[in-house]
Amino acid sequence: MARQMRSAVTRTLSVRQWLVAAMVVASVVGIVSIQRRTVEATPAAIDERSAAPLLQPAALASTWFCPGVPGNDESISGRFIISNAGEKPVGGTITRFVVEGAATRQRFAVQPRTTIEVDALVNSGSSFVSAIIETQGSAVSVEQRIVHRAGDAVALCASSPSDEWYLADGFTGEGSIEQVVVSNPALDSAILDVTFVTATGERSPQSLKGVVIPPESVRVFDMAALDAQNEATLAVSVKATVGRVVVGRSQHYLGRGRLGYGMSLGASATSARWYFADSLKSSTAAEEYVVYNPHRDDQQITMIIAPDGAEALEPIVITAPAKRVTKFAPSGLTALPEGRYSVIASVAQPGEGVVIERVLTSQQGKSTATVVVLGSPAAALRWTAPSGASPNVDDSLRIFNPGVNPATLTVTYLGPAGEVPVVGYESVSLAPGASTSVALTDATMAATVTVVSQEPVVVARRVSRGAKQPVLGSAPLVAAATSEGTAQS
Amino acid sequence: MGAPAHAAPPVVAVLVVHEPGDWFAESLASLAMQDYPNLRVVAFLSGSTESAIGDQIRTALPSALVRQVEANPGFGPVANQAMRVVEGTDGFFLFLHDDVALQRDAVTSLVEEAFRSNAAVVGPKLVEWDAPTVLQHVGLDADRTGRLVDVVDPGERDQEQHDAVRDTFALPSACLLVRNDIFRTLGGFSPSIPFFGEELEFCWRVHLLGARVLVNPSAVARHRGAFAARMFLPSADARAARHRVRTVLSCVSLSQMPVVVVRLLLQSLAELVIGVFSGSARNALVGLRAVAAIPVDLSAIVARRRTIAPFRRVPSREVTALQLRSTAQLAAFARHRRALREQQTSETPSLRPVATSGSRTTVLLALSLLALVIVGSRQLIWGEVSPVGQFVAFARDDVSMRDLVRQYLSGWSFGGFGAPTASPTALGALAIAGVVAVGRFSGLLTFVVVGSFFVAAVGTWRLSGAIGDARVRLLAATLYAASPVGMLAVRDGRRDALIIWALLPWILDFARRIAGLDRDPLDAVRESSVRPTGARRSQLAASLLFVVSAMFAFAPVSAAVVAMVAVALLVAAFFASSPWRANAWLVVSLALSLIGAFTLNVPWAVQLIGAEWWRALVGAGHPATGASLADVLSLGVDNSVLRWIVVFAYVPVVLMALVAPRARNAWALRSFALVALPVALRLAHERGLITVSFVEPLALAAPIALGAALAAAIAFSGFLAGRTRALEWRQLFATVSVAAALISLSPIAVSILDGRWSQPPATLSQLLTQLPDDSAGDYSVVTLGDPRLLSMWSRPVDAVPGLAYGIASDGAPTLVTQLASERTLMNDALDRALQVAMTGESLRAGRLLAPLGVRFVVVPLRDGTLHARRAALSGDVGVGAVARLADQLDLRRVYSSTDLAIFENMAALPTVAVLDERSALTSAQALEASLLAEALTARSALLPGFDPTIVNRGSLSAGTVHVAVPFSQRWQMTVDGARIAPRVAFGATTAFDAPVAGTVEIRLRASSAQRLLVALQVALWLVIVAIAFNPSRFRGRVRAARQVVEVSLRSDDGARVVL
Repeated sequence: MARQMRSAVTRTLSVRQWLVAAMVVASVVGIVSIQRRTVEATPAAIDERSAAPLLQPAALASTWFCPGVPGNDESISGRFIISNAGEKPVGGTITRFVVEGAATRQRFAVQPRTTIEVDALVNSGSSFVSAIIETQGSAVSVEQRIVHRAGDAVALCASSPSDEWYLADGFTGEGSIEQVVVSNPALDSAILDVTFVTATGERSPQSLKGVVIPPESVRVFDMAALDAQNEATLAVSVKATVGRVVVGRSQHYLGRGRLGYGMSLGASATSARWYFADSLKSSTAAEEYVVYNPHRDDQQITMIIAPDGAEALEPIVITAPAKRVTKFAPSGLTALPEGRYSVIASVAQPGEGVVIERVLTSQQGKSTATVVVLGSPAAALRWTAPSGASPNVDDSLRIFNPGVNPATLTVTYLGPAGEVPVVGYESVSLAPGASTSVALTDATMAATVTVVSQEPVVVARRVSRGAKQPVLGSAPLVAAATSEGTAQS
Repeated sequence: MGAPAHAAPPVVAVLVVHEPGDWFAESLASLAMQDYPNLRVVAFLSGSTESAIGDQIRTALPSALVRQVEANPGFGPVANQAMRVVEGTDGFFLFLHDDVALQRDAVTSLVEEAFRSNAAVVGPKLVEWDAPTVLQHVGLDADRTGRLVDVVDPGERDQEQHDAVRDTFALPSACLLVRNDIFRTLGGFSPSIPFFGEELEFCWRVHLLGARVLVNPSAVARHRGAFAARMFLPSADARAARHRVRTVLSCVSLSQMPVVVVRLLLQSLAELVIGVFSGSARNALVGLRAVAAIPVDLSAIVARRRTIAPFRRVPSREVTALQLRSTAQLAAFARHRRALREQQTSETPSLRPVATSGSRTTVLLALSLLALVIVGSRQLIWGEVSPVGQFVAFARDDVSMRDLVRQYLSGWSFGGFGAPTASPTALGALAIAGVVAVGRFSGLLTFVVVGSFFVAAVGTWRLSGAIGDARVRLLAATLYAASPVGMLAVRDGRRDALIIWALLPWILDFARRIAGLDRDPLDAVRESSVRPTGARRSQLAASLLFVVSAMFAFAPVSAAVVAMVAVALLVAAFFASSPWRANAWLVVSLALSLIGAFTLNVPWAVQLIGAEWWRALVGAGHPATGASLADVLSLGVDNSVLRWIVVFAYVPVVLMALVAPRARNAWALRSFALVALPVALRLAHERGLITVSFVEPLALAAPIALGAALAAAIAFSGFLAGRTRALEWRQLFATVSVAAALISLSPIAVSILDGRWSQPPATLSQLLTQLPDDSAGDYSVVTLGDPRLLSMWSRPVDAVPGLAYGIASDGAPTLVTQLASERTLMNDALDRALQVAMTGESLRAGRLLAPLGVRFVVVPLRDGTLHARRAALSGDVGVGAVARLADQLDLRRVYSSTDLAIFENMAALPTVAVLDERSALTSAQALEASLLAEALTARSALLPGFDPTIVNRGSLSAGTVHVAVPFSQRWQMTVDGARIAPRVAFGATTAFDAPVAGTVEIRLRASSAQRLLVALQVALWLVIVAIAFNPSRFRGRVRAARQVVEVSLRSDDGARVVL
């Protein structure tokens, strides 16, 4: 039967029909071959929110959200530092928000290649004053400095509001004051849910659910007054169900091993990777890393520790339980020599993330000071410190190359004629995984300092805590976005 | 001729003779043998009848008066000549065809009954000439639309079952006894009806007079009939239908007329639907055409009504009571069923079937398809179409037809931010459609949506006429109508795809008719072509052009699909065994229709010329989703089982391309090309080989579904042709193909269950009703997100791959927002503002949107349909956009859900606003920095309800009036009559600096060139419509309707019959 059919087919088909058959088969094969071509999803069209502020050098305008300055204590003052590294004057508006009352606006102008400082408070009388600093024409970089009797504090200003904020480290031991400062810069009310985590677990008081923040105003949460007294572990999560806010943390340490004052911007997102360029193992300093995992699943975090002048240690894996705070002190590692080192913390599970802050309590003579610094969620090609770094110390800046390629970098400061390379740091080569310390001189005093690298690096700085404070503080720098609009992981 | 004295009333037999055959002698003999004592005969011979026939009459009936008429004016007009040649009003006329043989006592019986019942008209029982025991007519019933139906069933044996004298509505004119005086009073038969319908018209008038029409079965006459065999009359059915409709409208009372007209229309439509699927579409169409010709016949009807008016002596309801309450067809059907039952229980001989079993199956299947569509659409018909996807309102509720016409002629295009250019052609068409729909746009939308299934089915029926008989055509129509494309287009609100799906078979059908590709004998070696010429070709070309142009006007993306179909047919032409000229005509006619469509849509279409022409056709396009071959072949069916069943439809596509023999192979290859090319293109897009904006998959699926349906039809045709032969391998493939195609129909069974083709009850458009009215001033709405979720024509946001935006004014989108709009400087400004917002370059993008009048930014995130269910490769751009917009300081989120987010721009200006001094100063610049530095402020919204197509009036205190419309020198503002020149504001919009207060008027001056072009466009459309519908037919019909047939007697010697 089959043979008969085959012969019938052979008899019947003409040349043209063979051509047709070939065309049909070729078409089917062609379609199938197109189908077999692999296709990959393009990168996310709109980036995930960065956990830290980003400067967009090419933007036609810039908006900075400063987390807040205490305003009802005459012994405390605050300044907004606005740095215009561009070649043309920039005008702008400062809109100050207070706890109760209307927002006020102030025009300002910054000449080219100039850094100005503006009084943050202007006799506001509010317990805290936060602000939006907007400029038009070109981008500027902004941060805030608080002059406090317990030590000055430099804090970054956020480059955008966010609907989620995290503060990994908190402390209310022995009457220490921790205030979470929430600013709502929008024209509409924001509604928040605030939760915090102590050593005993996560707490979500009813009073902190659905908290309404009026438009263009500030709300301060005193954690001790919110049933979080005498806590050595206190992470805070702020989530806006409606609107976008800016969250900062004002911390006055009064005992139980911590002293001093600090003000810092929260993390506006969790991140799967955190970099710390400036870590220290010393007999006069107690250092620990505070990991806050606000997600529902436990996270495995790999810590890579790279001491200066030595091979990196074997990676250490720690577990960050869900909705808990985990603390890790590398100084307890015997393999880690004394001295400076850098750290990379990576979360194993993609898509999830944590928030990690470094807490360093240093002692110098009779002075003890605690500094809390948020890590950098990404490496970048350009870093800027609007208010500069503390000069005349060996480690005014710490630069860490977390990549696999050598980085060539330049350190500049903003002078009247523009950015001036710091002598000796015109072109510094940094090996992969290596860190270096930059010593700035008086020439850079109060000037904006910038680090530009050909490979992504991470930069930290030492900042003065005031003339009478021998222990220096630490502060992050502002990363600049690349031309694609993001910092690089 | 003298008048003999008899006691019996005189009867004059009026014999109308036309080229009779041998039987005529028998007819004459029957007359001669009549036992009636006072019978005289008058014979009228048609002009073409031989004179020997006259001699034959004189021989058989020596006293007969024989007259010959010029030409052949028709039975009625000739019979009326009896009033000329017979003097006196006594007695009766006996009107006879020349093929009637009377029984010996027939006249006597008729006259007796006329006296006994006081009847005006009496007819005999007519039996078959060759079989006198078989009844032919025993009176005729009529329904309200004038359709006549025999009292007897065809082939019914005479068993004296109808032998009672009874009133009847009409009698055949073959043999009629009519009272002389009444015949003269009524003026005889209608002089306008030469053939077909004279008996209905005459008997109806008799009833109006209050006289009786009877059938007397005791009088018997044999009748040959078979008119068609004796004389050829072109379009006989059409004449009969028109005479019937004219008779009805001439005879009914005025109060009954509206109901009768509606009934005529509905009945004709029903007949057409049945006729289309039963293989008698042409016959069915004549009924509808007769109804459609009412306006043409109106003057003739009015004139006839005036003539009849004096004879209306009884109320109309009494006449109506004599008619059937149901339709004539139903009565005939019921009678036939009854006869069949009786046949089963008796020994009577077989009756002729009304229809063959094949045609009955076809009708039943057609009715089933009709029922399926209605059942599947029942919720849409009784409710309304959900405003899902592109199924937005054609126009706002408060817009009248007059407004639409004004907008169309205004020289202002409402799409996007508006532009001082031509309005879309669709707006003009919508105005016409709105008139037809009495302004009920929601009803019009339902009509379009549900009607698309029928349009698609009928189009496929016509197209597949090139492949096979009614059974094959029905299968093709069913497969195409039941393909997932139509259902999914309705479910997801893909209007463009629905239009293309419905009209594509028509386009291909017109093209193949132009190419002369008609059905070939099954065994022809190669396809042949007989191309139409002259008026017919012009008509087909105009029809093709009309359909393509109309489709292009509403769905510009259709141009891309038609072009692709042309390419597919071109490729198939290289392999098909067809005349190359036919293939060339097939492709070239499609290509020329595209050029013609563009021309017919000028001036609106002019904006499609330029670098953005492709974008104007397809908008932001459909994003790549990484769909697999199975996804593409399943045409969007997402059910994991059903999608594989749909793939069965491709079995005949491949098999028939390989094995369809000879002439049939040409269409098999075309079907294959129609499937393969779009599938390959879609896959190439999904796999990143094509990176330009892409046509939405469902629009591309229309040719795929059509190719699959045609391939199945070819298989079925082969299956039918091979049934009579021994089983061979081709027959096996054909059987498998048909079975596979039938299996692929399964998804429709699931889809019809909910009665709305799975349309979601709640849609994104309904959520937009939250947008406020424009009491605080007009505004624009920018919708931003995945282009699949935008219900309007969209442009991509260059800064973010996969993100697109569309613009609507004052809330929800309408038809005009779904068509490409001209790019203006305002679009550039908007692009920049969106780029700033999406990149986070500034958090004050709301201020950049302010001068554009953009008050709301809407981000659709999810639709109730499954249209955008599959994630785009570019990611969930909507969520990202919401995140970026939420960062913006001037945008307030006023609504947020998993489906939609709405942001209000707190910095927005109304469309027409009076600026404060600082904002007025800023408006003179085009600097982003100026806009970002400070929010614009307006002193007031000057003109809430601004309409560029009218003169807008308001009261103004001195200041700068800003209008958020593209700048044009044609803008004109006057303050107390003093004209203020417009200027560019913010580098894109329009402002007027008014130094004084007063009454302000703002208007857009129409461009003369614009008006000229619109006039030219209207003229072109009229020409195309005229050619397509061939109005010369109507001219002839008007003349024919009013024509009174003149009869002249040849060599009249003045002899008369005196009674």
